[in-house]
Amino acid sequence: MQIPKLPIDDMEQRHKGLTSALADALKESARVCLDRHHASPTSVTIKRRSRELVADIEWEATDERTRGAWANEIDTTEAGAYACVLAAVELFDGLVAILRAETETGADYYVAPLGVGADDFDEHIRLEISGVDRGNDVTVRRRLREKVDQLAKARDDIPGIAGVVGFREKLILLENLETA
Amino acid sequence: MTWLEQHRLSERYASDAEVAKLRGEHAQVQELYSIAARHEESALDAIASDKPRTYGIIAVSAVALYFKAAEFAEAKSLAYQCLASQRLPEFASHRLEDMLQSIRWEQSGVNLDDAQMLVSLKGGAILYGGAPLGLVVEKSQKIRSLVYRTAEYLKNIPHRKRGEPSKEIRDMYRPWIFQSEPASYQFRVSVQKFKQLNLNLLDTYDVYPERIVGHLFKIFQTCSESPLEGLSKVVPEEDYRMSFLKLVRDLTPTSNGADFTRLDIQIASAPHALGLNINTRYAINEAIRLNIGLAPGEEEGEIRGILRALHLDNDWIRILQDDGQNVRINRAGDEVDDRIGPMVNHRVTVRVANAGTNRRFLDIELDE
Repeated sequence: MQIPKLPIDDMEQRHKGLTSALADALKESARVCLDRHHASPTSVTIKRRSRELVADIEWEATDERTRGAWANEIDTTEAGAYACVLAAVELFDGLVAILRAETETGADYYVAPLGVGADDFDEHIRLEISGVDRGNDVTVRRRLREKVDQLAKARDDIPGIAGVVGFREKLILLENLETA
Repeated sequence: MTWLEQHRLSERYASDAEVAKLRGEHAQVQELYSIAARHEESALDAIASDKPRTYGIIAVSAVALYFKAAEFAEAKSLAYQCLASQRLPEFASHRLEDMLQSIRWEQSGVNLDDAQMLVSLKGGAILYGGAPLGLVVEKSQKIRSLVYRTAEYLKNIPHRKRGEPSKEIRDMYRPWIFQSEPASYQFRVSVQKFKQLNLNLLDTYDVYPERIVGHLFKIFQTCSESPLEGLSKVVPEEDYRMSFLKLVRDLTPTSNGADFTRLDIQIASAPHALGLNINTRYAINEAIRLNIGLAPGEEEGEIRGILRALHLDNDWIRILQDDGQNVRINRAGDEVDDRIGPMVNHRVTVRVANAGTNRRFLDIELDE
C-alpha cells in the first residue's frame, strides 16, 4: 500500500480560508519547525484515538535567512502547527479550511468537507490548533487534552476538532468535540 | 456584494497583515488590518437576520480587526452596536465584552516613568477594574520576587535558594504597587530607590531601578519569544535562568483560563505592551522540561493534589491526593522557596521521575 503524503503544498488551492500568501507563510514556518529536528523526507503519524495513519512529509530545507525571519520561536511553532494540522485533517477527514475569522489574539479556522459551501457557519467545524516543538508524546497528549477543554469551554455551541502537532515527535493528534 | 464576498476580501487583507507580522515587517500591518476591518463590517451589515451564529462570529471578527488596526474608537463603537442589536449569540457577547476591556486598556493612555511597569490582567474572571483578590496577590508577589531576583542577578549575587533577599537588596530596591487607571484589571509596579542610603550601600548602588525594570522586561520578552535558546543568551547562568523561567511561567494563565487569559506588561521604553498567554506557558514548560531530564530507568509521572507540607532543607515535599493518600516526593530541595512557599495548601501538579518505589521531584505548578 502506498504511503500518503501530508498535503502541505499549495494548500490555498483546496483550503478556501487560506490565501496564497498565508499558505506560503504557514508552510515556511512548518519547514523551519521541521528543520529544527529532522531532514526531509520523513514520516509523521496522525492519530485520533485508536485510528492511526502514517504519512510521508517532504519539504525544502530552509536557509539561514529564512530561519532568521522566523525569530519568534513561539509564533513560528504555532504557525507551523496550523500548516501541519490543517493538512492532517484534510488527509484524515477530508476537511478543508473554509473560513477564517479573527479573534482578539489570533484567528479561528472553520473547516468543512471539500465542496461544502462557505456561506453559513452553521455547517462548519471549528479547529483548535497548537504546536509542541521539542516535547515528547506525553507533552503532545497533555496539550491535546488542554485544547479539547478549551473548545468545550468556548461556549460557542459549534462542533470542534482539536489538533496538536509534536514536531520533534513527528506526531499529530486529533480529537473531536461534539456539542450537545 | 454578498456578505461572503466582503468577508473574502477581509480575509485577504487580514491574512496579508498576519504574514507581514509573522515576518517582522510591521510597517504595513495596521493599514492592512484597517482595510480588512472595513470589509468585515460591510460583511456584517449584509448578513441575514436568520443567521445568528454567522452574525456573532463576523461581529467578533470585525471588532477584533479594528482592535488590531489600533482603531479603538471604531472597535468600541461597533462592539456596542452589536451588543445592542440583540442578534448576538451568548458566546459572541462574551467575546465582545472581553474585547471592550482590552480596548479600554489600550485607550487609557497611561504615562509610565522609567522604573515602572504596568501590569494588566485580562479575560476569564477579570472585570473592568476588578479581579479575584487571591489572583492579584499571587501575581503581585511573583512580580516582587522577579524584581528582587533581577536586582540580585544584575549585582552578580550568587543565586538564592532559600529565604528572602538580603536586607540591603530589600532596602535598595523596594517594589511598590500603585493603583492605575481602571481598564480590565491593572496596577503599576514601581521600583523605588531607597531615599536614605547609608554610605556603605551608596558605594554598591551601581544598578539603578530603571535598569532592573528594563532587564526584567527583556526577560519577559525573551520568555515569550524564545525561552530556551533566547533566554540562554540573556541569562547564561542555569540556576538563575530556571528561576526566571519558573517565575515567569507562574505569571501566565493556565489552560482552563478561568481566572484570566492574558497578562500584559508595559514599560515606558517599549513601543508595545508584551502579552503573556497560554502559548507562553506551553513554550516555557517545554524549555523547563528540557532542562530537567530523566535518568536511565526513570519514567515521568504526574501527581495532583494539595501541597500539604514541605521541608526543602531535608529535600522533600508532601502532596495530599484527592483519594486521601499522602505522598512524599524526594529531591525537592532545588526548588526556590519564594516559588514553592506560596503554593502550600493550594492544588498543585507535581512532575516526578518514577524509578521503582522512588519518586524524584522534577517540577511543580499551581493547578487552579
